[in-house]
Amino acid sequence: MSHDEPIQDHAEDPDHRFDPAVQSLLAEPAVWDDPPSGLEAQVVDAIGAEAAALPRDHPQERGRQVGGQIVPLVTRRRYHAALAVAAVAAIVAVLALVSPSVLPEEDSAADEGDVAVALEGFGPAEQADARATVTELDNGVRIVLELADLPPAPAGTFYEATLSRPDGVEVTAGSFHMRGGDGRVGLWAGVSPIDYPVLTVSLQDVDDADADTMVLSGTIPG
Amino acid sequence: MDDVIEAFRRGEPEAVRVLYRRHAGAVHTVARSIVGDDLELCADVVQQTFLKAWRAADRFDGQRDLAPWLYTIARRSAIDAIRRERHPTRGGHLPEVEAAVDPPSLARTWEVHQLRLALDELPEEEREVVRLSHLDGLTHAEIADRLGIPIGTVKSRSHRAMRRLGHALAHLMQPTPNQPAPAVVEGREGR
Repeated sequence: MSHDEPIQDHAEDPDHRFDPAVQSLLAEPAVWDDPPSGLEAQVVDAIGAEAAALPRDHPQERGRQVGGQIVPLVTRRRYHAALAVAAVAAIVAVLALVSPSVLPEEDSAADEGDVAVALEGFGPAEQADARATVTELDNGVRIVLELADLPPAPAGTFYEATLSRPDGVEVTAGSFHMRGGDGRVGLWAGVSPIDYPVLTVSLQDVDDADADTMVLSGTIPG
Repeated sequence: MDDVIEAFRRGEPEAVRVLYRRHAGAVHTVARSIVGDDLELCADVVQQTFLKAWRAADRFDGQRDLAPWLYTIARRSAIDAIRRERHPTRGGHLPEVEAAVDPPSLARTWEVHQLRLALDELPEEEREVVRLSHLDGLTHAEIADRLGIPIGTVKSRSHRAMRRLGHALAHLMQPTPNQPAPAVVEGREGR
């Protein structure tokens, strides 16, 4: 049977009723617009020019060459945040040596003021079952992640949690790697979830702050 | 895909073209959804995204799906671009001024990215019917007349396209009454 032969009208097929929000996106020009036709050649030439300019014996310098562009604020903030994360990770590592877990058994998600957040998975974490319990305390914001089926971070990478404002400004909430443990991860943030309501976990490359992939995200209800 | 990634890391033009043709539409859609109608700025975001991806490609695990990684780079590049446009740097030792930016939510930009990827996977004749129907608002009869094909053919192409999109975007769709409900966000207690 030809693919183009007419079939019964399935306009009301209940098995494929789209989310109205997704269906409305089909009417948006932004979804259908293509990049300008000459851009492909520009991208190929730009990458080719940078590749040709690399010294053969220093391939790792590639990530540090920004072609004279001014590094945006968010990149500088993330560099300083990465240093802070490294310092916190060192402290956590010391604590882990003297305690089987940095989360006491009684530190459950039943305290008054706890807010439970379901996290949506993307990419490698699309099948992960993830939730967070967020508690605003006098000395900061405690975030306990409960993660099932989140794969361990490969060598040279780690997971970083951030809280972000609606305008995209991010503040780190800590890092972890999931190469062991019971799926519970304890994190701390220094900003209020009222002002920074979006909780995101990204898979980060140790050597390149720009090479990251968002894996979990959720909004803390206010 | 591993071979293409490996060639992309070396900056080989054909590999760059392969990845660009596969992902540029979705990257451009993310840029448009954040930057808006400044098409020149959108093009700059697309170029920056692929450049940054290439600069980090030697540390990218070829076993991972490239699309979410490119999406994250594109979203951040777009936000950075509109910040620079609204408050260009003054250079020297003067402090930078942080631009107030209100981009669409993560969920929305992810949805448009996933939708564009799914649309780009449709056979061309099905994609055209969906575009004429949803973007241009044509009826099936008008589409049949525009394309010079029977109305039944339009309906069958539309049905197949929506079925393919439904499967590709199942993770974005709300459940029907016969499907399990998604996870519920629990609210704050006692406030």
